[in-house]
Amino acid sequence: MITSTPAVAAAVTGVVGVAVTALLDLGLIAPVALAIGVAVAAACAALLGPRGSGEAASPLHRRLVPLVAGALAILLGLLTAVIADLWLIEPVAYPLGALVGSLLGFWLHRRLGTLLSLAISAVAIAGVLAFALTALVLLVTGVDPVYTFGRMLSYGSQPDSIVTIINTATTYYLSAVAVAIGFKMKLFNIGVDGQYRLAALLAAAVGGAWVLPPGLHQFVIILVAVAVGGFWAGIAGYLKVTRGVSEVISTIMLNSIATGITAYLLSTDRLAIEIGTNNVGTPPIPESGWIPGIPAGFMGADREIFGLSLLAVAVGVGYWLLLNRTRFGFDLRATGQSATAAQASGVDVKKMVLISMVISGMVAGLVGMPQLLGDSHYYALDFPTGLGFTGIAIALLGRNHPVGIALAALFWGFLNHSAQILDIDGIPKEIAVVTQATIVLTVVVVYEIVHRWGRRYEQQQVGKELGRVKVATS
Amino acid sequence: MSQTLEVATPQVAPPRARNRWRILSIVFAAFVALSAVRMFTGQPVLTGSGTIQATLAFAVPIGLAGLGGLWAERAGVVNIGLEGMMVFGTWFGAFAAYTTGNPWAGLVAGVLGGVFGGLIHAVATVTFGVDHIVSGVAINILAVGAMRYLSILYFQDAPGGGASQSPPLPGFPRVGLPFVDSLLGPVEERQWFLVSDLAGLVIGLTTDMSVVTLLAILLVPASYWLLWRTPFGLRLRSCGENPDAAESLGVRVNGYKYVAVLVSGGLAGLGGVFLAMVASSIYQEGQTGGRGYIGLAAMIFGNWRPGGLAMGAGLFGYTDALQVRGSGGAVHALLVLIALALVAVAVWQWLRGRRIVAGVSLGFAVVLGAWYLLTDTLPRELVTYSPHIATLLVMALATQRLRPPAAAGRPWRRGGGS
Repeated sequence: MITSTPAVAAAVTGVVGVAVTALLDLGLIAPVALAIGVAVAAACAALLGPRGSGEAASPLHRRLVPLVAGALAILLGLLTAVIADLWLIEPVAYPLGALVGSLLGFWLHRRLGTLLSLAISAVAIAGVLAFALTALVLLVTGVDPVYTFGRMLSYGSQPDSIVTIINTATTYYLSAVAVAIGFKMKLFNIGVDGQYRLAALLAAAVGGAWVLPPGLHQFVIILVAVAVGGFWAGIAGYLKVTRGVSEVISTIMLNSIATGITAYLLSTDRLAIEIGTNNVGTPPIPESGWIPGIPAGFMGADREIFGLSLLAVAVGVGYWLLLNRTRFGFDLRATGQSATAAQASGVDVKKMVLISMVISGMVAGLVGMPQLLGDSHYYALDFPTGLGFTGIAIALLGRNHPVGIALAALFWGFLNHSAQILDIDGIPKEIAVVTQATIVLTVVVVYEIVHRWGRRYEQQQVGKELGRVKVATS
Repeated sequence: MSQTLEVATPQVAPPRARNRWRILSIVFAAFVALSAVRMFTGQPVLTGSGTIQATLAFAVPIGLAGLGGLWAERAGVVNIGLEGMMVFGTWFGAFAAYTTGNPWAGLVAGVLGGVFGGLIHAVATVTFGVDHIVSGVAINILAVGAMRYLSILYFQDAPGGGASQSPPLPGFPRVGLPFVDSLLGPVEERQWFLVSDLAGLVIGLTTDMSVVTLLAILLVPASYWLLWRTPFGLRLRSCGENPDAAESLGVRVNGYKYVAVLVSGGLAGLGGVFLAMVASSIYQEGQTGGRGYIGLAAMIFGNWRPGGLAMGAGLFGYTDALQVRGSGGAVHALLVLIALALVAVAVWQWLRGRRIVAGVSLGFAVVLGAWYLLTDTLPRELVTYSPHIATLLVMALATQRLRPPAAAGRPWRRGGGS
C-alpha cells in the first residue's frame, strides 16, 4: 500500500469516508454517522502512503499529527454538513460533508507540521478549559450550563444568524490582521481602535460630501480610509523610530486623542448633521458609493452578506503572500524573531518598524468599511467601537496565522451573536465575553506550556539520537 | 514583546541633589507664573481652594493606578491590565459596600478584587512566561465582561441599581483641619498676588478631605520608603533591573515579582474603590474611563519614580479639575501659561546657543498667545484629551532622558542566566 500514488490514496480515503457515513446514516443520527465515517477515513489516511513533510521521522509528529488531523477533519466535515444541510436534503448533505472531511483529513495528514499541530492542540485544550470555566461560572451563579450552550448552538446555527456571524467576523478579521502584522514584528499596535474610527469618520465624511461615478466613489472612500489609518499608525511608528517612544504607550494615547478628534468633528457645527433622534452623523453616502451585499437566499437567510467580506478574504490572502512569498515578509519575520540578527544581516530595522506600522494602520483603516459601505452608509455616534481590542484578542487566538485568525473571528462572531438569545431566558449574555476573555488567557498560557514541552521533547529526542550514534561509532 | 530600538541615551544622570532643587524651583516658578496668569486673566478658578480639592479628587485614581504600575514595573512586569484591575476594584468594592452597608468592607473587597486581577496577571506572566502586554490586554477584556455579567445578576433587581450600575453606596468619613478655612478663607478672597493663591492651596489641601484621599496621598511616600529605603525594596527593584544577577545573589525573583504584581493590583483596586465610592456614590460601568492607562502615562511622565508620578498625576488631575470647574474659560487662560513657559524655554535655549530650538519655541508661544487673544474658550474635546496629548509630547521630547527599569517587560525564567 505504501507505493500507492497520492491521488489513488486520496480517492480511497474519500470513498471510505462517504461509504461508512452513508451506511451508518441508516442506523444512527447523521452527525454521529459522519463523525465515525470521517474518523475511519482519517485512520485510512494514516495507514496509506508516506507523509509529505520531512520531519515525519520524529515520534512526536507520528503520534500527534494523525490525532490532530482526524479531529480537525471531523470538525470541518460536520461544519460543511451543517451548512450544506441548509439547502440540501440530509442524506445528501451528510455524505457530502463526509467527503469534504475525509479529503481534508487526508490532505491535513500529509501537510500538517509538528509545530502547527502543537499549536492546534493547544488551542483545543484551551477551548475545552475555557468552556469548562464558563460552565463553572454559570453553575456557581445558578444557571444550567448545558441548557445555555444548547440554546446558543441552536440559535447560532440558524441561517440568519450565520449571515450575521459572517458579517461581524469580516470586520473582526480585518482588525485582527491589522494587529497580526504588528505582532509578527513584535510590534504592539494597540491603536487599531483609534485608527479605524478616525479612518471611518473621515472616509464617511468624504464619501457623503462628494458624488462620484460608482466604482470611483467606493475607491475614493476606501483610499481615504486606508490613508488616514496608515497616517495615524505612522505617527506611532515615527515616534518609535526617531524618538524611541514605546508604541504601546503612544498608540494608547493616540486612541484617546482619536476619540477626542472624532467627538470634536462629529458635531452639527462641523462634519455632522442630525440623524434621527439623539443621534448625529456624517451626511449619508449617496447610493453610488454603496457596496451591494451578496444575497444569501441559497441557505434560507433573508439578510445579505457584506460585499466587502470578499475584501477581507483578499486581505487575508495578501497577508499570507506578503509574509511568506516576499522579501519584505521575510525581513519582517526575521526582525520579529531577532532584531539584532536581522540588523546584522543587512535589514534596516528602523525602516521595517515604520513600514510595518504604516501597513498595519492601513489595514486598520479598512476595518470600518464593511459596516460603512455595506450597511449604515454614514458614521454616527452609534458606529461600532472597541473593534481594535477585539482584533487583538482574535489575533492572539488565531496565532497570527491567516487561516487561524479567520476561524477565531468566526468563533468570536458566533459567541457574540448566539449569546443574544440568552437575554430572552434571563441569562446575562455577557457570559459570552467571559468565555472569550478566558479563552484568550488560556490559549496564551496553554500555548506557552505546550511550546515549552514540545521543545523539551524534541531536545530529548535529539539527545537520544545522538547517544545512539555515539554508541554505534565507538 | 515590544521591539527594542537603540536611541542614544545619556549614560550619566545629573547628581541627585542638584536635580531635586531644580525640580523644586521649577515647581515654585510654575506656581508664581500661575498666580500671575490668574491676576492677568481674572480667572480665580485657576488657584481656588475648590480647584485644588477637585484636582486631588481627579488625581488620586490616576496616581493610584500609576503607583500600581510603578510597583509592577520596578519588579520587571509591565502591567497594562491596570485598567481591568481598577474595574475589578470598582465592582467588588461596590458589591461589598452595598451588601454590608459598611464602606470599609467595600474598601477591603475592592482592594482584594484588584489583587485578584493581579494574581491572574502574575500567574500568566511570572509562572507561565506569557507576554506581559498580551496578558494585560486579556485581563482588561475579561474584567469588563465579567463585571457586567455580575452586575446583571446582582445589581439589576436591587433598588436603584441596574445592568450597568449599582444601588447608592455608603460614603467614607471626611477629615480636615477645621480652623484653616475660617483663618485663611478671607485671605483667599482678597485675590492678592501669590498670597491668596497660597491660601487657596493650603485650604484645598487641609479641608474636607476623604479618608481614602489621605490614605492614597500617604501611599506615595510609603511606596518610596518601601522601594528605595528598605532591603525588601532593593531586592524587588533588582528583579526589575537584572533578574539574573538578583537570582545569583539569592533573591527569590519570582516571589518578589508575585508580591509586586499583587500589590500593583491592590493599588489599582483601591483606585477603583475611590472612583466608585469617593468620586461618586455608585458603581457605574465604564467608570474607570481609561484611568489605568493614564496612570501608566503618569508613571512614565514621572520617570518611574513615586515623586514624579505624583506630579504627573497632579498635573493630569489639574487639567481635569479646571475643565469641570472652570468650563473652558479657565483652561483657556492656561494657554497664556503655556505661552509664557515656551518663552522661558526660548530664552534658555537661546542662552545655550540653540538658536533654532529657541526660534521654534518662540514661534509656538506667539501662536498660542494669538490663539488666546482671538478666542474665548477652547473646544471641550481638546481639553478632555489634553493629558494624552501632553503624555505624547513628553514622551516624544524626553524619552531619551527617561530611564525605565532595565528588564521591564521581559519574560524571565528561573535559571535562564546560567
